[in-house]
Amino acid sequence: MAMTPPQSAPEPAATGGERPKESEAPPIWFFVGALLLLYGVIILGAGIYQFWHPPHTVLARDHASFWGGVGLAIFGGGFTWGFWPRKKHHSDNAKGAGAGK
Amino acid sequence: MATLPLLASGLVRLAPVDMAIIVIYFAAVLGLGFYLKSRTESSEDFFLAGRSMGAWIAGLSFLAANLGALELMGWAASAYEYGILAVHWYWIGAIPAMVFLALVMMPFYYISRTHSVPGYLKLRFGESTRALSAFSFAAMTVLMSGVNMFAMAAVMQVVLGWNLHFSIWVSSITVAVYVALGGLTSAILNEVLQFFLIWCGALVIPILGLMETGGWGALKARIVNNIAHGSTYLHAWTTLGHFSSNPMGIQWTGIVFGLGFVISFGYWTTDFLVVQRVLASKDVRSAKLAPIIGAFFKMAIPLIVILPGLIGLGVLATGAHPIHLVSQALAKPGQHTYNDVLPLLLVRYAPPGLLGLGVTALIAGFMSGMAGNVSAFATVWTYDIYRPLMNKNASDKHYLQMGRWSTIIGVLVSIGTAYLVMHAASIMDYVQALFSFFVAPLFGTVVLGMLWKRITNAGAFWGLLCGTVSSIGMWFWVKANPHALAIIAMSAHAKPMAQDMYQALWSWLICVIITVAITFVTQPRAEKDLTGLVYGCTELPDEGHYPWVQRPAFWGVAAIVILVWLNWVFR
Repeated sequence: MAMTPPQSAPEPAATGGERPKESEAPPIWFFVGALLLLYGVIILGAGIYQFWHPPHTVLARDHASFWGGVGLAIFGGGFTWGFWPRKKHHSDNAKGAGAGK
Repeated sequence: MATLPLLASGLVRLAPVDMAIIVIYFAAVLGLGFYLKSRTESSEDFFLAGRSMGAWIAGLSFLAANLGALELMGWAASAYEYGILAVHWYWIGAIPAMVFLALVMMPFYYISRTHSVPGYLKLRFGESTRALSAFSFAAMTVLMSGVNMFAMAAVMQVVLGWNLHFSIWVSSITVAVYVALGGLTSAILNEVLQFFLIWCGALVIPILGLMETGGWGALKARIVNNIAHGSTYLHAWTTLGHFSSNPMGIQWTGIVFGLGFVISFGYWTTDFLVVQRVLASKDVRSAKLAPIIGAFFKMAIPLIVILPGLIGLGVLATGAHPIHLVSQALAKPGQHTYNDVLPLLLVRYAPPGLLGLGVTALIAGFMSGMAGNVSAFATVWTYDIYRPLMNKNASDKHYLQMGRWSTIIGVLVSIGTAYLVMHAASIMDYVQALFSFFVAPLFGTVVLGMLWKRITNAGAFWGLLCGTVSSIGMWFWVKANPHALAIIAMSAHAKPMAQDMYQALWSWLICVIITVAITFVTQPRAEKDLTGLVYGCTELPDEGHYPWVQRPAFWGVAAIVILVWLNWVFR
């Protein structure tokens, strides 16, 4: 039985079909990756500086900024690489719009 | 154990690297708003993000919109005050409702092509019920937005010594700009960005906290040593047999029925703040998957919220400069409150660089909560109040402009409400009181309307009205006479958090009973008018042909299995 929408608004596909708008979605995953990569590089720089100027925090000897910066740079770099717009233009639109599973 | 001189004053100076991280964050969210302005051409783009979002973006945004003050500062404070019992708000108080939304309710919201929850009520019950829910929702969103603003300003004051008013205005103007420019698309994509920043920034505390204490087992031993009856802070279920046997002063019936059923289902299935994110999905399958994706991350959030509260119990009261947090009502000038536990731990553990990221995570959390409320308010105001009651026949461009202006006005009204929150004993008490006012009875109305075709328009309206009024009435009753709490919660040992649970339960019951009673003496609508709105009158849409491992139902069941396991482990 076909669905009868109770409003007069047009009902395109209520059955899982994709809409044209999706192809225009911005590549948010790339944007997230680039920002985290930038943060990673900045915090890694701060962590290297802290080897010679230890901060006054608990567990300062464990160099949290250094390792945190490394982790962020790897994570952000992976996202940036994986969702680079020119490299994966077609799939980016799908993934960038969060087409998920 | 090393301690921080900085903690004695509660203030810290940010290093240039921290300031750079915060400035980059503000530039990024504003830049995203300006970038998306050119893509927002119609009211559907502004209010529903063009219904173009995939499951992952909708799911992460669904969760991030909920990650405001409620999740970060408020629940870390509650974990410090009540112990591991606070985890119920993430597990039984969220996951079953999110799965129910995905598998049962989302198809109806989606196929009715509604733009909001009040919009669904208009289709199902008519204009009067829509207007009632729209006004109550609009009031709740601006009040909740005020919670977020206050929470962020309080963090800035504790960590940085920034003036409360300065923090409120800077954060709210930023949110107003990026939401007014790009609408829901901007809010959603910023929420995805904020989701990652929250996790990256907030993970510092549990990782370093467990390293300092020596692991989970050693942390539990510290809590038992530091606090009288410390073991009651470490069990999620075994202390719930009686109101007086746990720090929260609540019994298992309040957790299971008040929180796990009424408040949780009410919030996650009818609060338009979160439902709006899922309505922006590009198809039915994405709309069903989004809440389930959110559910898996929701189960993990106690790692960055509840665990820090417990770490606070384990480490802050020891060492050369012990800190004992108190409730806001008992705090003397200069004394730290429960709400300060997360910022205090951030200052304790995070060196320059990570401190900036941690502060950015808090700001991102608060701004995502604010943006969620403001974008939902703009939609309900424009579609459910302004258009039907004030200006029915304006152009689409006019409604788009109204959406932008109502975003700005909503932010200004929220700023006023931020000052109300400063008088609440605990942020969470205030939030839970609001939920019990508006969300609990609304859940009764929506779920009855969706599952039972006999429910009539008059029954729904009077049920919702009586439920809401009774909830507010109970709250004022306890304010005027604190002994009334023992009657509402049915125990002389009940505490304020228990009041909210039982108040919600009673208001839901009142809503349901009155709705059903009036339904039986009034005329039902014809079945043909209920197509696409009610079970039994609707053929559910096909999700498409996918292997069972890619179906929403499979992942919904998986989420429930993990939920049961977690509750067993931490019982």
